Amino acid sequence: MSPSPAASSQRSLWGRFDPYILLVLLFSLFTIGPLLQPGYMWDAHDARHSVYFLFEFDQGIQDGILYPRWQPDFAFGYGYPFFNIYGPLASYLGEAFHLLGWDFVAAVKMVFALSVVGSGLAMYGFAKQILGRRGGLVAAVAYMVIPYRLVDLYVRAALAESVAYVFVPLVLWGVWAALHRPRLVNIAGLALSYAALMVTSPLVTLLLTLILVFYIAALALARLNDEQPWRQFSRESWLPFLGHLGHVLLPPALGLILGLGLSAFFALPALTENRFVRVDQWYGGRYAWGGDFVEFFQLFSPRWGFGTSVPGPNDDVSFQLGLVPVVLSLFALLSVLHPRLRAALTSQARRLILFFALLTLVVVFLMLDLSAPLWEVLPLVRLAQFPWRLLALTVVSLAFLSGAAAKGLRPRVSFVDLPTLILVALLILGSQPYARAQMSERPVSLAGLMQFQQSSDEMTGSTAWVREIPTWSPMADYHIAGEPLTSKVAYGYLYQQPGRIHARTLELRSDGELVEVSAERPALLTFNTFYYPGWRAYLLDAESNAVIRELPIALRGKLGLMTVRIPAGVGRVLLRFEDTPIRKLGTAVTVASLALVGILLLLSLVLRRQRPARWRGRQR
Amino acid sequence: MKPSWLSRLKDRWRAVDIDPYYWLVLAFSLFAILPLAGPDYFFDAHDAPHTAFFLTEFDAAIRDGVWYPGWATDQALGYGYPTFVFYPPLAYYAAEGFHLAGAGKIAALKWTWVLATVGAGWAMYAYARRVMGRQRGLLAAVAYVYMPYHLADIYVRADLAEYASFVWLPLALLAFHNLARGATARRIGLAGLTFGALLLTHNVIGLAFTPLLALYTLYRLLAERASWSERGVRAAGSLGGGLLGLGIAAALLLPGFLERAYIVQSQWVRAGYDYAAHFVQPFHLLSAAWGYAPGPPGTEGGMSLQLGTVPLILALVAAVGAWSRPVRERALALFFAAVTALLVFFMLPLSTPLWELVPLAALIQFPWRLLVLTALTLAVLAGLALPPPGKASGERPRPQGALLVLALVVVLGSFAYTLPQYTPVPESAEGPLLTIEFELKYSDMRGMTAWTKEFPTDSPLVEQYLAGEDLVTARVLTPDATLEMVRAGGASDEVQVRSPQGTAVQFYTYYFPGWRVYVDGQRLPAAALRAEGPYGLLTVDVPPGEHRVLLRWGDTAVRLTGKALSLGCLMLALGLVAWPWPRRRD
Repeated sequence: MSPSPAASSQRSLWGRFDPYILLVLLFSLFTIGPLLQPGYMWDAHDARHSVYFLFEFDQGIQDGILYPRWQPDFAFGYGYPFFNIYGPLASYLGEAFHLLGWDFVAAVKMVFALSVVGSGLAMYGFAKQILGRRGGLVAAVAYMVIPYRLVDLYVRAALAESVAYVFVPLVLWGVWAALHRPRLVNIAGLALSYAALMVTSPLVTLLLTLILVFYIAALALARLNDEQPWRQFSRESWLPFLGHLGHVLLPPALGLILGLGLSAFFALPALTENRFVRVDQWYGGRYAWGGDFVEFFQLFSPRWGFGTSVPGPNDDVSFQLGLVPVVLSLFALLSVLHPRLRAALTSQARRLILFFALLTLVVVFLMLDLSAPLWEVLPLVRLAQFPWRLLALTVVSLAFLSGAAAKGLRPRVSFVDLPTLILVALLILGSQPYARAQMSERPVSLAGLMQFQQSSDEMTGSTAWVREIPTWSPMADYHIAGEPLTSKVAYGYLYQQPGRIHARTLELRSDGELVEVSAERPALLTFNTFYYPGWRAYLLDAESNAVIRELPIALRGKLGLMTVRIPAGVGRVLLRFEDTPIRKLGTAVTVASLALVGILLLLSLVLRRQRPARWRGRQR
Repeated sequence: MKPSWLSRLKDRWRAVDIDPYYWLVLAFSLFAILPLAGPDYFFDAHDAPHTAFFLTEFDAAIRDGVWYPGWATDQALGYGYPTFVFYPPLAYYAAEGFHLAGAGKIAALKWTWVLATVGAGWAMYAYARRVMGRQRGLLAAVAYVYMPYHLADIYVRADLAEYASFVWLPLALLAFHNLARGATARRIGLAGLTFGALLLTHNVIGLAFTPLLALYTLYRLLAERASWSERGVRAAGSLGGGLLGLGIAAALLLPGFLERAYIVQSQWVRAGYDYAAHFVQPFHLLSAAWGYAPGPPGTEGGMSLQLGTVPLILALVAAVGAWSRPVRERALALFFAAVTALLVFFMLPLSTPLWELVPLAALIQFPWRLLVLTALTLAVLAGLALPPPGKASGERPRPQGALLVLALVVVLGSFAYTLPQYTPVPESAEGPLLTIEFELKYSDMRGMTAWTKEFPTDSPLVEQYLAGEDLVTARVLTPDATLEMVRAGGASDEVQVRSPQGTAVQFYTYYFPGWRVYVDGQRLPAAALRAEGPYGLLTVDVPPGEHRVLLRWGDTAVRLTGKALSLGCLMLALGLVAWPWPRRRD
């Protein structure tokens, strides 16, 4: 007897919806719980940063700038090209919430929460491909609750890194899919996720890219071995092998390159123009590479704290890998090595288990002082500042391995079964005591931003032309007094000059200033703004605002403040932050890549439509 | 040859088939009750001193011949307070039972905690076995015992009555579940007994549970396949069971509603007890932090209000997995999931307007008290997280081992919460001195009746208590009269009064309706009893000469009616249960 139409439609509706997704969403509650409290974890390491990054980003957006690269209030109001070199995606997300009506703090909390939920779903999506639904669920839960995630959220309040956790599994998934199912949609997906990761955190992207090299090599070689076994390799096999290799590598390579293209509006300037900002304060002092390695016992120590890392073993912050994920990972490894257990795993799962196990070992090795010689010769890795930041990579590998432990347990059943329940409960239980935050309430304002910068002086960014990093400014005085800042003209310098001279700011925007000047004789007009490539000054006609000519920008004093020479008479000076050729190029590449991705997606849709239904059914 | 009575008894004993899972529930519960095994107690827990001196007062009344105590003679600095007119007595009957059997008062309390813990596990197992089978029933029972709020109720709050109510909730569910399957006289009796017992154990929890029970019964009535007329019979049976339960609890409920005006209630519902200050932030329900301090939610080091990590995980799986279950189970899981969500909503500040709408809700005092009910619903859901054994696609029954491991994980999730803050047992703990010491320390805990005009700051009895002397609980108000104390009991005082011209005798006891005074065995009319002085102490005039004056606790018409109703309904319920009705199969 055939089922009734109603029943079958019900089943297909149910069949289409994956209830595990709902479970991942619900289980994220245990990680984002502390965010449900009123207040914000203001005392967490980078908590203030995240809020004030968004605060400044919003200034630009409110001024109608779609991608605000210059932040006028950083460096005590001298300005800083922060988002030219820092991934803006997290701030874009926060800005979206802010524009929808949430205040800055609430918007940042939303992004934190969303990063957890999104990361869980992404890991579920990736792990499900290889480990099945239950394995995917366990991997997703592990990914959301591994202690270092909670450190990132509530101790470090590292917003960009937290958001990056969403895209790491998506990139791994994209590469896997592009390699095994080279379809246009998979390539486009890989490109989008790689670009998103780049625009979120170039540092994580860099680390991941190093891993991707080995990941892709391992996946490609394994696939080649399946299709052209090594055992039958002979001299004549080389040519077809190379051809085959190219064929296999092409889709993921295309995806990654396209991803780079998509992120070019940010990546290209960030890569080439970061030499124009002083980074010594970020890689010197407390952040100097001092071999602050993790002690082996710290990887397993249950100690928890809201302090900072200090040289030696007494860090008041946890560097634990997570007891339950580690034990589950060992189970996963065991299930690959055990002859009877390995039967439950597909060859792909086995390979990825070995890959992630190896990755975990290497990363752990790099965090220990045993690896000091290696760090000396790998300057690129030092961008991570502290070896313990590599813990972020173990979050990914341990989460996948935890999921693999569930895969090895039992053959598939209808829904979450007993062993899966046990694993999920243990994972959450093992981290639940750490899911807490020190919440407090503080106002967000320009005055707050000035105080924040003063209290964390190493964070006062400055451009390469600044010889002395400022510790205060006339603008900061205004902000502290709660008065609106209407001009950034350095009147002190202005009135030192002989002759009658007058300057009045007509418009002050986050990306420039329009000043009306009148001078008896040629004079210098100095702005309390740091120089950075992209700043241009123009002399405008006082009546028509038409550009008369561009004024060359000179730098003045130890702060390197932008100064222009104005001719005698009445006129207007426009100082404006514009795109350098490299930024324009980046934007053009992004637009072109976006168009390409759009075409790819459209094409795949069209091809899918044209494919006969019978064929589609067989594929599914 | 007829078998001897001994061999018959042996045969009967052999025929008793105890479900071995009850032993498993007991074994798993051990970790929750073993902390009671030490010599110390947890007197710093919020209500721990209350439980001890309530038992002292209860015991004193019982020993003075009052079978249903009402007056706590040593409270309010010795002026006494009608505690048990308004406070549910069943848990204290249990403790008194242990005490009369020979245990010291603290030991008796500990045995009551043990009984309530194991009883709760068994009760939940009994209900859960009925609706989801043995294995999942075990999981539900373990989850119930180790629900964080359940453990907080004993080791942090030490609220004996509320803790004991955990026993009756699943039993009431079971009784009404059975009633909805078919109304028999025995089932009606059982429903009445369990519901009545719940109300007599903790009336506030009982009343808060009633809407849930009603909803559950309604859902079961609709879920069971039956004709509408049959459903009507079952509904009537359920209603009968509920009314019978209310009747059994009449001794508590009637005076609770009708005599409340005789005490100053405001002192128990002001600032610290205002429900508005006790709403829960969503994170409180999730946070694993554990604390012992009293106070509103969010207090530093304060009591945990978590739902319970592992039970919540299991409940979420049950709720999401409901769609992949057979229809009957789907409805059950969704019912309990929806009720849990509703209860959680009522604990959040979001629900303030609804609390303001229902005046009775303020009686609950603390919205987080609803955690008692979420403990019930989450435990049932925890059991439902597992698929039904061995039905889907011809699977074998689930391996026992994995289930035990999961139960162990449930225990593990709460194991850290089974730790009380141990304090040595003070010498005064077994006697009325504890009451006095407590009220001297927490002066706001001295109760007042409607006839008390001033807050009691002192009493002539305090010194006597502290000195450990025999109490003199009355005085004469005429200078040439003398008074000799004959006996001071838990519910009566007896004095010998000599006065040439007659005198007024004032007992160091609050006036309260129900007190009776006998002069030489002759009961004085109620009008002869008056409340005098700022504290409203009970005073009577005694004629000249030598007289024996007896003050004795008695009942008002309301209390008498309540007790008669209770006794009648209890007899009826017991009769319905015990009567050898012909067996009926569903």
